[in-house]
Amino acid sequence: MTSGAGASLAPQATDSLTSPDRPRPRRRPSLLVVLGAPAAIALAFLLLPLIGLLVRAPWRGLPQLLADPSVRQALRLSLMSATLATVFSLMVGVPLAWVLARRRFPGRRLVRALVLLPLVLPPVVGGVGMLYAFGRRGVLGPALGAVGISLPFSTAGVVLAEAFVAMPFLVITVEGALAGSDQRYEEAAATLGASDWTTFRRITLPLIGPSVAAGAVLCFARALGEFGATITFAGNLPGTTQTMPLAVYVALETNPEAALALALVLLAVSILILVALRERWLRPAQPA
Amino acid sequence: MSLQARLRVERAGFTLDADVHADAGEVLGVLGPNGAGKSTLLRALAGLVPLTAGRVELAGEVIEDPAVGRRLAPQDRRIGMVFQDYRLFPHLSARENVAFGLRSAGTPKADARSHADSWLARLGLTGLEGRRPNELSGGQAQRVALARALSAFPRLLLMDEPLAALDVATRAAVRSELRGQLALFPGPALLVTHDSLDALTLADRLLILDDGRVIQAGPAAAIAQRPGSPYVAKLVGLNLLRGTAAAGVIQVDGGGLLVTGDSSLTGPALAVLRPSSVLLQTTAPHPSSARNVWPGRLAALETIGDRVRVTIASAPQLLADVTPQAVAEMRLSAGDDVWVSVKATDIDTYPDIYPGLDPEVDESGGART
Repeated sequence: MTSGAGASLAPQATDSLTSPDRPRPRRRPSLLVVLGAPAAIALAFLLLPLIGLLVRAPWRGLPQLLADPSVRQALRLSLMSATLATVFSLMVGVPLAWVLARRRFPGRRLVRALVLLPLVLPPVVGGVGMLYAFGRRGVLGPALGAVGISLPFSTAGVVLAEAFVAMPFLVITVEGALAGSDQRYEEAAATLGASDWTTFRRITLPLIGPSVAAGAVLCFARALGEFGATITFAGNLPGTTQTMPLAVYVALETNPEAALALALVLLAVSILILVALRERWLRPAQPA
Repeated sequence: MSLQARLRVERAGFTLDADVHADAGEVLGVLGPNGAGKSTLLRALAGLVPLTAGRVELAGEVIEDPAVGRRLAPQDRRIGMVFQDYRLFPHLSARENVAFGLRSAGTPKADARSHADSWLARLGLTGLEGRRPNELSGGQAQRVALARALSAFPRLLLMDEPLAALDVATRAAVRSELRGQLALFPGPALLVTHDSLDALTLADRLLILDDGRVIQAGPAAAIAQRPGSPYVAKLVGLNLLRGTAAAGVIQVDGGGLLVTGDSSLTGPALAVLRPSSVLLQTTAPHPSSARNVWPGRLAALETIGDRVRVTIASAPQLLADVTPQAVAEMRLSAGDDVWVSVKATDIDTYPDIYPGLDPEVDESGGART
């Protein structure tokens, strides 16, 4: 069944590559074969899991499965924690992006590299790091404990774990926009008597607004899918720290149909995010 | 409300060192070739570039003096600036652009907007208040930029090539508009330009900059009549010869003698000849009343209005204006050998004191040795 789907898909993909876009139809058939075949494989490879999900989804029982309180709980927890992680990232990430883009200080490049580290760091490593930073035995553990705050295995811990992994997406997007944005407007604002703060609020931020929005959506998407750091730092407690990705993983063992239903919901949210970002990321002429 | 500034800005490979003075209501034109430091001068006054040394005093207040650590931020100077590229905020309407200065000063939104509307009306932009900058033509954008700078009640107005981005037809209209607005502006105004027509029609006095230094300053008419540098002479379309005067004769740098009849002048001298007073002949002239006669070769011809401007390769090289009729009758074309003659009485000579001590610069407190 799976291989059949692949066979029916591959020629289709080749067609869509060749027919409208290819400028010279018969000049270099060898190049088309050499590059077209792997391209078709790549496309099939990327699409097959989605097909599998859609083909095997328990469409008929879906309303019932999604009505399950534990599913709704996981979904609510996921949306809430991803939203809070995004808000937190906006509050501290945009200022960080501004400092990186607009201030010159020794070690700026090193700081920038460290900020981007979570992008390439395995999330589990991030989770372990967070345990030893904010956990009971962590660097800040005693201080947090003294004021009665315990972050690991709490919903707040989920938000922090997600923010740790997702914030660099926002920072890098906003920093790029700030670095590329025109400071000529800020000069003009200064000659009109605007304070630094007024200029930032009324000129700088509105001009990079679309990038902040795109960065926030990207950050939200990454937070929503976060698994490794969350399960390591916050655990997997239904209702408290069990987000959708964790629920999918757990359900796969006990109730595959529920796992499929949950996965479909995450897929739907992802498609929504892609639609929200289409202006920015899906236009081929514009480099992302 | 006057401006008194001594500006020194040092950067890698470039130093601006200029004294600038402008009285209330006066328009000072700043002219100079590309890279002369005109924009740097404006940016230094606006506070966008810090001074290395010097002192800026505006309306009796010292706004920058590195020697005593005094430096007012751009937003605290109340100096309006019209940028060459206008820099209208792209996300704000024309009205919001103009209201921006007052809003920043804390004026309530409604008041700032009605003030902005009245400024836009003053500049003939009624009906365009809600437009974004990308919906405005070049001339309209220029006017919005001017309204924006003026509406914040600046103590000094700086304009960096305000007409450079406009096409010829729009330029003339905006120039006369600008002239009217400048007449109403109570403070001193600085106008950077490389267009002699802008300078002569809009400015009361001129400051000629070259390589970061003031090479001439004075009333616009006086500078147009007696340019101190080839750059200015070219702008106003005059022949300028530099040389050494002795006993009524100037030994021109680069070769040639010029009989001037002015025996009182000795030492470094400049001589101005109008192209229209240079005579051309295709044959060696018989003894004539002209004291200066020399051979040359016709290098180029160019029609300017109802005249033909001829460049003559000779010692010294000259521009001559002749009528198209004369060109036709004499069958002049590039490469022809001609004789050039100039009457001594048509030559204006004066001491070459540029760059250096200039009476006008001296008067404004900016003598430099």
